[in-house]
Amino acid sequence: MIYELSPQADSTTRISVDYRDEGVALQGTTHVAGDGDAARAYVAVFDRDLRMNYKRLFPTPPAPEPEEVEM
Amino acid sequence: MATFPENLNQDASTIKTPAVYDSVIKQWLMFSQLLILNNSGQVTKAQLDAFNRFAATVYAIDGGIDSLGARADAAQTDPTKAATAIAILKGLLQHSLGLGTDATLQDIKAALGVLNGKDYATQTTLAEAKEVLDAIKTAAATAATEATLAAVKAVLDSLDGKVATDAKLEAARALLASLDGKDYATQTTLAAVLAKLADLATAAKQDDAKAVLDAIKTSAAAAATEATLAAVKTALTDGSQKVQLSGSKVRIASAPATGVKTVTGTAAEVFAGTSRKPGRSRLEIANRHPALAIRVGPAGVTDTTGRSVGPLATLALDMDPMSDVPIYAVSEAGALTVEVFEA
Repeated sequence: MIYELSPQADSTTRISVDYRDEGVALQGTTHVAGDGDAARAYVAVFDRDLRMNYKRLFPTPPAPEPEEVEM
Repeated sequence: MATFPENLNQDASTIKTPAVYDSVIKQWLMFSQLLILNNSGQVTKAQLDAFNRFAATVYAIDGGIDSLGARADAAQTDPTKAATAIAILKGLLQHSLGLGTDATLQDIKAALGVLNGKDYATQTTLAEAKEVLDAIKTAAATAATEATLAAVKAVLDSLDGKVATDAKLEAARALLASLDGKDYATQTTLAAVLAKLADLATAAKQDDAKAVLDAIKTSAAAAATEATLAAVKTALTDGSQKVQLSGSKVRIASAPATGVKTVTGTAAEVFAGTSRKPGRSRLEIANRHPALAIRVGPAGVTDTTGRSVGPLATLALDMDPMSDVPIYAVSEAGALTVEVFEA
C-alpha cells in the first residue's frame, strides 16, 4: 500500500492510498482533521477498514496444510 | 748726571713711582730705563723716548693688566664668551690655521668670477615666480586625474563620427525656430486631458452597452402590458388561478454503498466505500458499540461537540446531492466500529 498526505487549506489533511503495489486495483481517499502527524497515525486505521470492506479484492493467503496424525 | 736725593716721586695721584729726573735730557726717567742706561751707557734719545712711551702706555693701562691673562691660558674661539687677551689671541691663531691656502682661494675666486655676470633673478622676480607656481599648484590639485581624462577620452572617441554636421544642425535649428512661439499645452493641461480620456468608455464597452440596450428593447417589446399584468395580479390574489407544481422529492437514485468504519480519537471523514459517495442524498451511521458513543459533525468536531450518537444508536442524515458536504466523526473514548450506509 502506498499512501500520500496532502495538507488542505481548511486545517485537514487528505489521505490517498493505492494498492497497486500489491496487485490490487483499489484506491481510497479520506480526510482527517489536523496536520500530517494526525493523518499519518490514521493511515493504518483507514487501511484496515478498506481491507475489511474490500477483502474480496485482496488475495486470500493459502491455508496451512493439516499435519498428518499417525494412528 | 746729577743725582737727586729723591729717587721716588709721586704722580698726580700721589702714588710713588720708580722714576728719577734726568738733568741731561731735562726729564724724568723710569727706574728700569736707568738700569738700561747704566748697563750700556749708549742709550739714545730715541730709545729713551720709546721707552718712555712704553712706560706711559704701561702706566695708562694700569688696573687692566689682569685682562691680559697668562701664556698658559686655553684658546677661546667663541667670541661671545669672556676670555683673557691671551686666550682670545690663541683663538685667533687657531682660526688662522684653518683658513684656505692661496691656491684654494684662487679657485674660489675663479668660481666666483664665473658666477659673476650671470643674469640672476632678483628677489622680487623670484617672489613673483613663486606666486605663479603656487597658483599652478592649487589648480593642479583640482585638476582631473588621468583616469577621469581617460574616461572622457573614451566618451569622446565613442562620439567620433556621430556628431551632426553643420547643415543638419542648421536644419534642426530652423525646425526648432518654427516651433518657437507655438501655444503648446502645459504638462498640467495634458495630464488633465489624459485623465478625462481615461474616463471615457472604450468603443468595445460602448458596443457591449448597445447590445444590452438592444436586448432590453427587444424584451420590452415582448413584455406584457400594464393591463395584462393587472389581470394576472387579480388572478393570483383572488384564488382563481390554478397552479401545477413540478419537481421531485430527493430519492435514492443509485445503488447504496455500505461498509464499516473505525472511529477513533481523530476526527475523520465518514463514508461507506473508498471515498465520499458522489451525489449522495442519504447517510446513515449506526453505532454498534454497546457502551461507547461517537460525535458527528464538521471537520472541527471533537469528543465534546457535534451530534452525539450513543451506543447502538443510528444517525440518519438527508444530504443535498448537489452539495458535496463531508461529515466527520470522532470517538468519545477509544476506537469503535460503526456501520455506514450511503445512497
